[in-house]
Amino acid sequence: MSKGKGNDTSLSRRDFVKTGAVAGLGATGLGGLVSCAASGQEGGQAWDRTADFVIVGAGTAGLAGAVSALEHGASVIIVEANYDIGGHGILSGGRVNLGGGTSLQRTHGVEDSADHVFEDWINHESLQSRYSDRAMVRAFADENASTFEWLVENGVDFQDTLISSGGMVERQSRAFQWPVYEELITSYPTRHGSGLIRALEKKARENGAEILLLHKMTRLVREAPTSGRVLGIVAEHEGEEVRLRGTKGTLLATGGHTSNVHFRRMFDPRLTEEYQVAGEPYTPQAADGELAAMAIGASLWSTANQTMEAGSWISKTAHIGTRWGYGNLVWLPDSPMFDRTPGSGLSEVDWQNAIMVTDMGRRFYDETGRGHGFYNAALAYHGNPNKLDGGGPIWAIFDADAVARQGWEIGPPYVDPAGDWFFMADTIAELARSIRSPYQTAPMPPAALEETVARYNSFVDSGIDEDFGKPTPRNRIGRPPFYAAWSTPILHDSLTGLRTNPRAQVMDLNGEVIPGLYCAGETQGGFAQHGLARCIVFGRIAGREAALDGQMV
Amino acid sequence: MTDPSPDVNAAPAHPTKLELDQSPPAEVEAGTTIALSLRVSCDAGCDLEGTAVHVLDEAGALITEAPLEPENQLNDLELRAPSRVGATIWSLVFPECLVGEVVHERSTLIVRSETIPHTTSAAVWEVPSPVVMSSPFSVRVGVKCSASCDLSGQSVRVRDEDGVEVGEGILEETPWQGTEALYSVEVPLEAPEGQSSWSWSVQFTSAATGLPHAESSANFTFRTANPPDHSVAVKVIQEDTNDPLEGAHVRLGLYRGRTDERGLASLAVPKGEYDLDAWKTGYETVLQTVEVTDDVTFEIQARPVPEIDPDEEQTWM
Ligand SMILES: Cc1cc2nc3c(=O)[nH]c(=O)nc-3n(C[C@H](O)[C@H](O)[C@H](O)COP(=O)(O)OP(=O)(O)OC[C@H]3O[C@@H](n4cnc5c(N)ncnc54)[C@H](O)[C@@H]3O)c2cc1C
Ligand SMILES: [Zn+2]
Ligand SMILES: [Zn+2]
Repeated sequence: MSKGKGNDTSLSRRDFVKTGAVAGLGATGLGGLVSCAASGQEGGQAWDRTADFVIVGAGTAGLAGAVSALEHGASVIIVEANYDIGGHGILSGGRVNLGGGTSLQRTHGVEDSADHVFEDWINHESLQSRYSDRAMVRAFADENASTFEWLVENGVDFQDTLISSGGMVERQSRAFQWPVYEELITSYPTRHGSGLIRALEKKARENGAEILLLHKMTRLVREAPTSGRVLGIVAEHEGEEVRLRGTKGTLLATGGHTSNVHFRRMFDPRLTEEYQVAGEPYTPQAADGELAAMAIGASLWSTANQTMEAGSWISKTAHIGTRWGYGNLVWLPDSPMFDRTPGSGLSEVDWQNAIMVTDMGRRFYDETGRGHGFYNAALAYHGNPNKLDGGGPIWAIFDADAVARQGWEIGPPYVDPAGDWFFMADTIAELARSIRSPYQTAPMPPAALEETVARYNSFVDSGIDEDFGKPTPRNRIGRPPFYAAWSTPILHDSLTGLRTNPRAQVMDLNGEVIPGLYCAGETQGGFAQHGLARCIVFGRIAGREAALDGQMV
Repeated sequence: MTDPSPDVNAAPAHPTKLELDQSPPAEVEAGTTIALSLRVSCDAGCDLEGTAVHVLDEAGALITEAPLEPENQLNDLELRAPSRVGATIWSLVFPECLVGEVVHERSTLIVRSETIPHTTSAAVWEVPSPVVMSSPFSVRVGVKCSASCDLSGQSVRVRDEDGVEVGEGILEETPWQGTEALYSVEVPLEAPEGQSSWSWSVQFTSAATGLPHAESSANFTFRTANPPDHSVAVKVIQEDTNDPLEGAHVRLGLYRGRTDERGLASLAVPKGEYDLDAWKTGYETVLQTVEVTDDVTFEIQARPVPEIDPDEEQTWM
């Protein structure tokens, strides 16, 4: 903080502290600033800003934490690394898996209870609940219904429908998409998470939360490196350090680790750099919260959840020929993200119209297949000595007839044939030669791709896929030109993160609470539930716990 | 600044050196160019602006003089490979010259590359299957040169499994629609005898004239079947509305067809028992087994598959 001319309040305060010391001024005039500097100064530096509760990440869990802390009387500052709030929450479908006997469930005649929620999410027969920490699930279940009502009270507008959630009863509700067009990150009509997130943002601001955009937390400040209370954070803003003190607590709600290649490979070394992540490029799941907390002694928790080979932490590319082809998330040309992506991809792929090949030009699975059998095959070793870990890029290969059947338009705003994710050529051999991508670590052998296509075409003639059992292969790949479109699986959820107790307090490797540090959202470990519900419940718990710290029994 | 006859009594000469930024590609396709970037340096660090590098061919003939750019650099100097195949050498020469008052010595750099023929590759499409044994059919064969040469008028051959030539065609004037330079021709063929599957190949061998082109080949497969006995009409309708479904892919054993706007596909097949179903994106049908003993019409009901919401799939448990 040395750039300004003194009109920056934090700078003038800092100068004041320095000058004050020289001039021998008493501590009284500076109030809280000096008292915290006395106990919590790190390296002789004081705080730039102070609030009761400092929240890192203005996404789902962070905003829930803010609204909750404010309603319990705490002051709140949120730091957000991105240029706008919302994280993955604002991009989401806005389906909220909260039940346990909500008013919405009652209107629809559905009987539910906290116990039912608990039982569903600890069911040992499901891989997706087997490895969760049951104390965490219990807390989640107990606060399910009340958290739903709390969202409604705080301005979230839910549709009058219940959606099945696979458990004993129907639980999921869905928010309405936010009505203010200018405040959407994507106007794609299914992105209802905007309604949830903007409503929470509005409430938090109304109640006095300050949101510092383009402030990226770089580390936590603890009294001693691995002991004592967490006092606050250091963030970076336009190349400068900003130090924020959270007198009652600090919440890490940074959204998980999936985009961090080194971090995700701790759990599964196959998850190398070629795998993109849902929600990018709006916000990455960079593991900032996890790394900052681990640096001061925090523990991870329930790591089996990250490798359970069930559920959808990985999925097929829904929009091929782009690296940003996740499910329902389409970056339309009116989105502020559109110019950061080379196109929205070719959508609604019927895999009878294309085959999928590895970087070495070979098929590896029934293209119409799904699930972890498919993913394991995609992530396997495919004979490229330059690529021992991870499966390398997966390419969809198809012909002009497929384009006609699909009704695809080749070119912008869908695909960019001059870019890294989509290629076209007059022959199959030339197509293989044309594939150049940052993740294609060796040229695709043209002869291998020619052989693959000729063999597949013979399966179309016979109606039997002798290699991978694709149900009745229907269409030859024959009519030029030919196309190769990026179809590498996409990663999604972080299902392992920091250990907390059911009060969302972060714990260290000895199982002790790290005082003053809270965590919620995908950065939190212990509960392998996909999505918003657990982020909101534990965000709400964290805000309340921090605000009432010491006053709760 | 340059002087072709430097004064030998002047100050001692400065040695010079030519250096490539990157080594040249090991191979270059005949008649195409490679681009090199290089620097001339003088031991004493003189600015050599105003001088030029001479490019000589194998015979020592001057091809071009390329003036040096600032910082004694020469960017993207284009060298064109000859139209014959084989080892190729260019000499880059910085001729002796005067810069200011100082003689700069001659230096030479030899650039070697192998001139290779253009790569070609082939495509085969419009392959019917099954075809009636011992009867005529045709396929379309296309050839593309890596440098997008005009290949029209050149010939392609089709060979059977034993390598025996069974068909020939002359590539047509204009490239196939939607391609950059894929020259193609429909090649008439005759199906072999017997019920079987076959793997034949097409082969392109370039004419001796013009730029050298490597050979290429591609395999294609097809099946042969008995002559048809009956004509079968397959009608595909939408289950809920009974409306005809256009563009559905119909499969009756090995026989395939696509429905027209009336939802009809016509197939000519031998007597026998067949599996019958249809496929169209967004629909599903039930596989049925049918017996063809006469001219007949079969009906397939296609049920619209509800669109899966990707968010739905993310809901666990
Ligand atoms: C396309 C898509 C659809 C989805 N649909 C659904 C759905 O329908 N239902 C459902 O339940 N779930 C859904 N999800 C999942 C759900 O959105 C997430 O699980 C949830 O938003 C995670 O909340 P979070 O608070 O942990 O992270 P986020 O909401 O991502 O928020 C994290 C925030 O922290 C910020 N941050 C990160 N590091 C720093 C740092 N160092 N300093 C400051 N700020 C930082 C990020 O920029 C981000 O804004 C969907 C996700 C995606 C991507
Ligand atoms: Zn010199
Ligand atoms: Zn050529």
